[in-house]
Amino acid sequence: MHAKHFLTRLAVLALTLVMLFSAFPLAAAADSAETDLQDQNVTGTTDQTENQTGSSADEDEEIVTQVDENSYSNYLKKIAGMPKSTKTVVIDLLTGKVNGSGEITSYEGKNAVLLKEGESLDVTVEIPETGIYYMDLEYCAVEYKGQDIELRLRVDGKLPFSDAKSIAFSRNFKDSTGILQDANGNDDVPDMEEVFLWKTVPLKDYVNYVNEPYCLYLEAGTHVISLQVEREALALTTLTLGPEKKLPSYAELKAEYDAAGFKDATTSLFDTMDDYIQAETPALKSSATLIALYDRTSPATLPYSPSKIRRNTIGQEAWSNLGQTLTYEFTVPESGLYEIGIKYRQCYAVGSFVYRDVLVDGVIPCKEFENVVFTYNNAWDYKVLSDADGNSCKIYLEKGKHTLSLEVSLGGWSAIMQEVDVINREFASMYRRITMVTSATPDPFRDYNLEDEIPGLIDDMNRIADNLEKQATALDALCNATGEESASSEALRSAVRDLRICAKKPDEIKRRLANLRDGVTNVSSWLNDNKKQPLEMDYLTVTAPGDKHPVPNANFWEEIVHFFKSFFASFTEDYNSISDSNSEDAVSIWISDGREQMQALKTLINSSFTVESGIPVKLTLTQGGLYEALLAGVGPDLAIGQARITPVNYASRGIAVALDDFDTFEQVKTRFMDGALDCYQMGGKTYGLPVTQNFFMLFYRKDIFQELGLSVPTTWDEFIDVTKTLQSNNMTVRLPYSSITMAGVQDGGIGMKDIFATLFLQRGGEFYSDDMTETQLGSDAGLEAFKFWTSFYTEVGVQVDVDFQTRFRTGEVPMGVENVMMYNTLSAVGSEIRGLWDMAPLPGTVQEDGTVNYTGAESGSACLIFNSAKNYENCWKFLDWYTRADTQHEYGTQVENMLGVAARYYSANLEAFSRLPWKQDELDVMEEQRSRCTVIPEVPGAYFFPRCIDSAFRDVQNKKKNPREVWLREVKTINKELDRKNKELGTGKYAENKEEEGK
Amino acid sequence: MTNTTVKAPKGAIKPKKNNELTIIGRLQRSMVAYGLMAPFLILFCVFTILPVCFSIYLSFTYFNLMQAPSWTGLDNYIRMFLDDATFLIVLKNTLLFAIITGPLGYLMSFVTAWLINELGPKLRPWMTAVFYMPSLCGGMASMWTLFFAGDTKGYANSILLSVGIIRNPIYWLSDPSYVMTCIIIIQLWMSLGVSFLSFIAGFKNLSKDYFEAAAIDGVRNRWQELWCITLPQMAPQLVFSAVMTISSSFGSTLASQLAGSPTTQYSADTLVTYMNDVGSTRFEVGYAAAITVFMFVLMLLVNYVIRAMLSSFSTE
Repeated sequence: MHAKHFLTRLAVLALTLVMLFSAFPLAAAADSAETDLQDQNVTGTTDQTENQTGSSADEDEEIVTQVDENSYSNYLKKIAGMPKSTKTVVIDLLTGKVNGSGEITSYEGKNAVLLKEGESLDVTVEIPETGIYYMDLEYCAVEYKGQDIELRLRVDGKLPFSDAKSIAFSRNFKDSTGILQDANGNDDVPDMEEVFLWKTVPLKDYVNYVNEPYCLYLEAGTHVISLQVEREALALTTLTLGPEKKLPSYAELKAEYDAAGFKDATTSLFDTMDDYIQAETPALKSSATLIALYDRTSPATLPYSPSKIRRNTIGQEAWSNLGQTLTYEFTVPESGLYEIGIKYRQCYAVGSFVYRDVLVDGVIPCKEFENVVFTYNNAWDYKVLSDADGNSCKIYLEKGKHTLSLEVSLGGWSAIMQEVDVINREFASMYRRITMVTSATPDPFRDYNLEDEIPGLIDDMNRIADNLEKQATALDALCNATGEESASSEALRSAVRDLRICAKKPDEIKRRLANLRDGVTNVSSWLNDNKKQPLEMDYLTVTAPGDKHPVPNANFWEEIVHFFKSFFASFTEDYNSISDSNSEDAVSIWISDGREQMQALKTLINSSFTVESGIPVKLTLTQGGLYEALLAGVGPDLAIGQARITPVNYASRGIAVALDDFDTFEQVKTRFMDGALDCYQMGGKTYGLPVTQNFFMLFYRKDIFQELGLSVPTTWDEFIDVTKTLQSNNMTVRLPYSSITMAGVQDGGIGMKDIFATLFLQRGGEFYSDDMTETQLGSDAGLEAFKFWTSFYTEVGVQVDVDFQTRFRTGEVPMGVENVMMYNTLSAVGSEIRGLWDMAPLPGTVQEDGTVNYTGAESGSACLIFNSAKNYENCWKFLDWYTRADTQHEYGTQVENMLGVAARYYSANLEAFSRLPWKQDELDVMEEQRSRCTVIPEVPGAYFFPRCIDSAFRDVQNKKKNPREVWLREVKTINKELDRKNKELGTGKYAENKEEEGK
Repeated sequence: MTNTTVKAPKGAIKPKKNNELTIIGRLQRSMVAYGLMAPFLILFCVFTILPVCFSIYLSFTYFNLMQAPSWTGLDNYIRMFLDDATFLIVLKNTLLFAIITGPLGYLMSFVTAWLINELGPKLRPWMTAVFYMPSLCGGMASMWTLFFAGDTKGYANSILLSVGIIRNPIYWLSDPSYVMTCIIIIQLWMSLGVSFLSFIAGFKNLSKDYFEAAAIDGVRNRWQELWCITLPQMAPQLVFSAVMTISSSFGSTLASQLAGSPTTQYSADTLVTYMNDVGSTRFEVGYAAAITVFMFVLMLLVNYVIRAMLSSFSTE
């Protein structure tokens, strides 16, 4: 039966599709493909860049295309033959003209210009000779939001190259305490604080793939150089333009040393191994994500304990971004030549190699210290910095204090990656042009005539393949040079193979389209992966030549002993809870999150809560098992990060504590958006507080919208129009849908399951009757919203399961409604579309009177107190402290510091949320969307909504049943369940009966 | 002759009644034996007998895991049989699932074990390991979510799409028309478990004498040999495996692992997953206990039927 139906349906579907295709979209697609090409040609010419000169400052971002003709690598090619400068020009920035409220004050011991986000500074410079200049800037960070600092550089009112629109500068952090220990004897991460130091650094690319400092070609004469602060705030003093700095080779350096008569040192800095410079306690670090880590795999890692957590290493994946620096201080007992050694482990870039620049007292002493290579090895390794022949490099150090810094560098990767990045953007843009003709799933039986539809396609393919192959060969050569055999150029080569086949047989393109797409995404993830230069360090040594070097690994017997010790210790050690006191009256808290999150919270509690209130806290990391523990009487006093539905569920069974009567409740309430507590209320009492909150945003690709001349939809009707335009260009859109089969969907409420709740609210719908015992989804608004929502899938043709992240990046889905947290993901992984996408608030529904209702739904997590708690007041004090803006902000920052932007914390506390490191325009749209959110209440039995809505949805989507019929059926089911729950719990209309029974 | 191998274990389980001694006397006489059994008996009582009894008690109560249970008599059972449409769907699913995967899985185990037994001594352990692997790796089932993923990139969809059989991806694990079939296929793949291993062991223990005798007596073909010689000798393994297979297909939570809990429109929920849903999502442990008790009785019945059916082999 099924099979037969299925086949007939298929046949009909296939027929309609064929008819549709042959009818209209071809012509449109061809047109747009052509205009697309023309656009790109135009942006490619230098005329365009000339034209831009005259345009106002804000317009230099306006042209958004995937293939960036003005990139720095193209700029370098353009100025390749130009003369090099020989003179140095020092520009006093204090003489510049400040736009905005920037002021000249004394800052950290120097007279400087203070600039805040958005402000800029123009200086007029007299350039003595035409040539290529390198730039050094003296700056100092200013306390502001705490993000990376970004500057935009313009010369004579225009960007010299597109990458100059955001040049990053690092901040400086140091540990304000030593490594701390908790009551169990396990190490905690030290507290950290920012230090504001004057630094002179070259202007460099920290985001893309360029290793060398930026250079600038300037003609002799007067120029205006302007520096605009894109993010954060900083103080500036001077900008130096000068010739390239050449590093001596070690041989040259040695000749210099010999001439000066420097001799080998005779005593090492260290008597015992414990005196080594421990990598986990740097004097300075450029990024707060560089925290002390622990390694318990080897007894040779210092400091060592078989059972306790010892913070003994630093780095790993956290130390992998270009420019991240760790600086160590050490004292030299006598002047002389010293060898420098590093104990490291590079098991993170598998089968690959990473680079570091080693700076002594802030400068790289010789070429051998630049781009030091660390190859892959699962075990620890020890390396003495040495020249190509393996002779150790001896560096002269005066008696006294010195610093040693290690900075992430891309080394040999840089040149290859720059090229691959450019090629891949072309590749992606070519792929998109093909899909605009064929759609993402082409009909294998149709002749698309791609060579004619897209002029120059075959040549492009060959060119891209040639270029990629060239880079793959270069990479292989690099691998051989570093002695690492397995570093993979395979991602590039497989893309080359597919391109070659397609170029040879254009008919094959439609069948191999998926391979081409995989090629694009593989190459871009290859870039993402290999750009990371992770390395872990245990300690550093500075030794007199001839002294014995340490052995990095333990021998077999030591390993065996270590294994047994730590195995038996695992029976008694509890690594899942951290506590400063084992006393009975400690507030016990369960947190269901990652270890880093717990660590961050713990640090905050120690430094703030316990100090302030004197209440000890015991934190435990758990996943699930909450009600079982409560039933058994071993549950916590309070829990954080619980599902949205939990407070009401537990309250209705009488084990959650009502929070309304605590003295500061009214004040705490104002920290969240209006009505944020509605979903934690039952019978007029509040049983939980919101912790995180998320909502939907509209994500869109700026480049594609611009290309097709689309504007961002503000109503759902416009949304459908845009969708249709995109569809006629063989692209599609994304609407969120979480199937109930996914974990957590039932407990997260219906607000964020899909857009139904949003559409219902926008039609003025109310989820519950006044006494909260019945749902009003069966109302006209509900039915209408349901019909409209399902029509997206049945009529407009939106797919339910779409891998939004990937397809948004490839451009197949240039617009989509998604959880705001998609921002994290796209920021963290979408390097190839950086600057090409944006967010907007959700579209609204036009009302009968012509106004537009923009209401949105939200979801989040909660915290609550259980009535088995020992001391309610203490628990409340904790929640009060925990939901404070300062706490939430600190916590969010700490977590992001440790885990990067992918772990951004969406606090429900409004102030804390706005203090997160957003760009102002990002924050504006998000706050706008958030202010439009309405909180959907939760009732016992609310878990039935997701499954019933899902059931109705599937009937309409799969079986094309009448929406009205299935909707009313499911509403009835929901009401029946709600009624049963009310009866069971004696709430709603059963409340009185229960009281009577009680009498 | 054939009876001896079967009766020996039976005799071990049920010691002959001795009417001459009182209970205490008998206890005293077998003190050492009981002492040796004690560790197991205690664990068995605490973790099996006690929970079963407790859940029978709970099935007559209202219990939400947080407050003490309150007696409600037969309410749960009345609701189960008369006022719960979902229960009927789930019961239907369970029976369908058990009827298909139980016997089929059993047969598959047996046939595979038989075939592997015919292999040479070098290849045999390897093939055993290969076939037993799926049930060794508990999480392997989740591999199938990739195969049956609902987007165009899921293996099943992408194969069918590229061959041209379908034009749009099928939502294998969320479209009610497909879920059950998918789950059954996966369960069959996984069914080469304990019973398969016991068959392998059974085949190894077969006495060669019977086969030689049969050959002399003129057995006509392999089927006859299998039916008249092999199977009767394997009766204990047959019973054991049948019980194991049927219980595992009754107790399978595969649906909730792969297609969520609950599955779309309860299309592949079985008694066990429904019980989990009722117990942990809705906090109605009393009702969940009633479902468990029902399932317990159902399984007892089925096991009884199976034993009765298979006993024909050993008595022949």
